[in-house]
Parts: sequence; structure tokens; C-alpha cells
Amino acid sequence: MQKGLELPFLGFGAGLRHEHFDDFLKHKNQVIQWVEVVTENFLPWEDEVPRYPYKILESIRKDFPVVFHGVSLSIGSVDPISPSYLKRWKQLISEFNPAWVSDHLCWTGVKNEKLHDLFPLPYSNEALSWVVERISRVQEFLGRRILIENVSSYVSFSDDEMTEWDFLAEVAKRSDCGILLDVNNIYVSSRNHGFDPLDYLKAIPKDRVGQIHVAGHTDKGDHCIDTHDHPVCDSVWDLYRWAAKNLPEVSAMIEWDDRIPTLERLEEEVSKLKRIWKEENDRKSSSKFVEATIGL
Amino acid sequence: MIENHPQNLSKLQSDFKDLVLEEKNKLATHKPEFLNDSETVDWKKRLGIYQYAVLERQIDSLKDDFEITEKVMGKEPFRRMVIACLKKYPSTYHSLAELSQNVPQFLTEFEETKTQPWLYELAELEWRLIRASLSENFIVNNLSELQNEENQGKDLTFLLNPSIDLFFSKYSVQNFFDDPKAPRAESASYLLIFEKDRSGVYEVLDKNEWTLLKELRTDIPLSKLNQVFASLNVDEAKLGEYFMKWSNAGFISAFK
Repeated sequence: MQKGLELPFLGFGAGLRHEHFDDFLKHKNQVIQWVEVVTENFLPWEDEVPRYPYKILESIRKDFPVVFHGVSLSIGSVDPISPSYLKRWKQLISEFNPAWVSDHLCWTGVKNEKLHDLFPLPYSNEALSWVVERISRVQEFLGRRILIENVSSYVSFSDDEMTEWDFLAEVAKRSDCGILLDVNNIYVSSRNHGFDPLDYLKAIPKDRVGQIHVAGHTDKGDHCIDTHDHPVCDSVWDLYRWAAKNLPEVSAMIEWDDRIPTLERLEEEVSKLKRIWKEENDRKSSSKFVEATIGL
Repeated sequence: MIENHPQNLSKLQSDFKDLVLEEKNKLATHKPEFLNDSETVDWKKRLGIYQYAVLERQIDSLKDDFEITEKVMGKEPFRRMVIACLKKYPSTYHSLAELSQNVPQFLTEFEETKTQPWLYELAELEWRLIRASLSENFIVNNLSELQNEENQGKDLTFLLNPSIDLFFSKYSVQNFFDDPKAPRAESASYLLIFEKDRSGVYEVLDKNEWTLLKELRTDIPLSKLNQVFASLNVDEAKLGEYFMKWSNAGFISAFK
């Protein structure tokens, strides 16, 4: 059990993609300990049609802990939060009882137009107050904390008054939400904006981190794009190693969303998460916590 | 209960959205004030990452859902159509997948396609197949209880499997699935659409069977279904055959 947020340690997971539904349903997975489900894939549409039939999720959650990860809450948008979306989300949560739920620190559209991308916010005091207020209202409606994920970005704004990591830490503190720390996004943004990713990691309040994302990206030389279609690169593994050492009670997972590999290949990446975690925590201590936590 | 509206954030988001949706070659020469200039990579290139992601993600989603329509239209005309569709009907949906519902109707409005009604029908069929693939497919399977004494002589209502949809095509557009160059001439088809192994599939029916299923779908009692059957003027034994087939295939979920 993690101290600050009181979330269970689920171990090492992966994003559940429809390409692997059959593998999970046929119990072929031997490595992945929990799955993260994209909320919108199962959220009933406005006319009540779910993206994938509930029965698949019902079957999978019998074998694996599930968490929900949303992509369209648009917590930073100046548009009102859709009451219908919140209601359907809450209903989904009550049906599947995920270990936790999350979305992104971003906006995805404005003036009632959804652009289906994760746009960064200006790191200003005005945006900070706006986001804190909205997260608080969402948490109040859901009756539970949410985790908010740092996004990768390609632009920054002249309205910025603080660093992204100070903004994120302040959002978590003031709204009492958790943080979904994406170490790949930190790396991508560090390459695009020229900061040291370790400065970012060190500034994040440890007791607020509820989950870690690790993923691949596309390196274009003078910039990086967060594509989730490659294996994790060494630099991102290094950041995860730091996180495994400093945030040992936080569950971690691999996100692989495009050019989806076989389940076996995905399991290799998840095994590496586990191996690094063990190396860092064996080195630190031979405590029973390591054995008990990782089940080795 | 809302709070002071954040003026600066509001303007930034509005301006940023306009830029992201602007065509690349129409972008202003000078960097917008709200973007930082301390970057090592040109602002247009950075903005272009968002422009590309927003447009291509939506186009890819529509290509996935209208694979046959794209084959029949050709890649470039299809792309032109979806870009125009996105302009006229920008997404207001939380799920990208919901965007597809606008395409069939748009094909009847778009200058290049409005005189080709088979394209509307084909896109509608593809959309209905997607809907079927996402729907629940359950069989309550209480049909064996039909033989029970308590059910004898009752005017029962049969409930169709929720994944079932019935589609009429004036142009037999299902033929495009095998051959995108199939004839565009009028030739009616009656299709039954349903979910199988998480895919939407179709079966071509004769007109009578299709008509009966369409009536069944409105949850009419057996007595009224018999009246419909009588009006079709076909062999009475055929109704029994249909029921046997629908029951075995799981098209009838339950009765009440």
C-alpha cells in the first residue's frame, strides 16, 4: 500500500488494447499483472452504445486488476466539463470498480469542438487556479481522487510563469489529486524544450505519485514525438530506473498504442520494468517488502 | 458554481485551436505572440506536429471505419470528402469513434458524391456493421420453456438479439465488399446485420424473411406476426422454418 494516496501496489502492467483481447481472454498472458483500460473505449456513447462490449472487460477483470485512463476529460479547457461525460464515467466506475482512475493535465478542445489531441496548458497562475477548481469539482462528483498525468508537449507559451513540474506539483497539492507520472513524456518534453528531466522528477512530490507510465517515442533528431509505437529507449529506461528507486511503492506500466506488438513482445517490456525495479530495490534493501511486493 | 472565467486562457485556447486547424500553407509568417520563441525548432514545425496529429488521427479513424467506401471512391477523393466532412461537422464527441456517424449523411451533401447514392448506402452499411460489432450479443436461451404447459396458447412476443439490425439497399452495396468496381445499377438487397466474434457481419435474406424480422424487431406479439405472415402470401410451413433458423442462429434471444 502506498502511503500518501493509499493506492494498492499492483506491480507491473500494460495498456489493454483490442489486439490483445483474445490473448487475455485465453489466459496467454504470464507476465502482465494489471491492465490500464482507456476509459473512452468502454464508456457508453451519448446514445448508450459502448465502444467495446462490456462482457470483454467483465471477463478480463476477473483475472486482472483494472484501472481506467481517460483521454477526453479536457480538464484544462475553458469549456464546461460535460455533465453527461461525468455521469457516464461515474457509472462505469461503479460497474467495474477500478483500483484508480486518471486523465491528463491538458485540454483537448474548445468552443465545443473536440480535437482529439492532448494540448499543453500555459503554466500560469490563472491556468493553475482554473485547473485546481475543475479537478476539485470532478473529484467531488466522483467521490474519489483522480490521478492527473503530465503530457508531452511541442510548444510552450509566453504566459508561462513557472516550470511545468512546479505547476504539476502545485495542481496536485491544491486539488488533493494524485499524479500519474509519465517518464516518457518527461523525456520527450525535455528534448523539445531543453530542460533536464531529472530536475522534473526530483521536483515531483513523491507522496502524490500514484502510477508510472513508460512508453516509446519517435526521435526526430532535433525533437521527439510521443508516438507510443516503439520499444522504450535507454534514456527513458534510465528515468524509470530513477523512479523505481525513489518511488518503489508505485505501480508502473508500459503504454504501446500504435504498431502494436505481439503479447510476447509486450511482456518482454513489462518484464524489463520488473527487472529494473528489482535491481534498484534489491540494491537498496533486501527487505521483505521487495519479496512481498513483487511476489518473487 | 463556476468561477471567474479565465480570460487569458480562453483567448490562448481559441487562438491555438484556430492555428491548429489552419491549413499549413496559410499560416501567418510571423510567430503568434502567445507562443514562446525560446525554442530551438521553428514554431511552424512545432505547431505542425499538432496540426498533423489532429487531422491525421481523425482521417485514420474514418478510414478504418469506411474501408470499403474508400476503396470504391479512391484514396484522394475519399480524403477530400472526409476533410470537408470534418470541416462541416467538427467533432463534438468524447470518443473519436463516434465521429463516423456523420459520414453517410455527408456523402449525400458533398458536391462530389451527392449524385452517387450507392456511396451513402455503402457507408451506412459499414457504419451499421460497426455498430453491430459493438453491441451486446446475448442469448437468454429460455426458448426450451416454450414447450411448458403454462406457455401453451399464450400470445407470446419474441425478442430479437440486440445486435441484430436490418438493412435495405437499393444498390446491393454489399457487392462492393468483394469487388469495389461492382455495378452501380439499382438491384435491391435485404440484409440482416449481426455481431459475430466481435465483428459486424451481414447475411442476405429473402424479402419475406427480412420483413418478418423487421416486424419482430418492433416486439409485436405472435398473433400480429401471423397476420403479417399471412399478408406475405407464402407457404405456411415456411414460418416454422424461419423460426427454427432464427432460434438456432441465436437471432431470437428470448420470449415473454
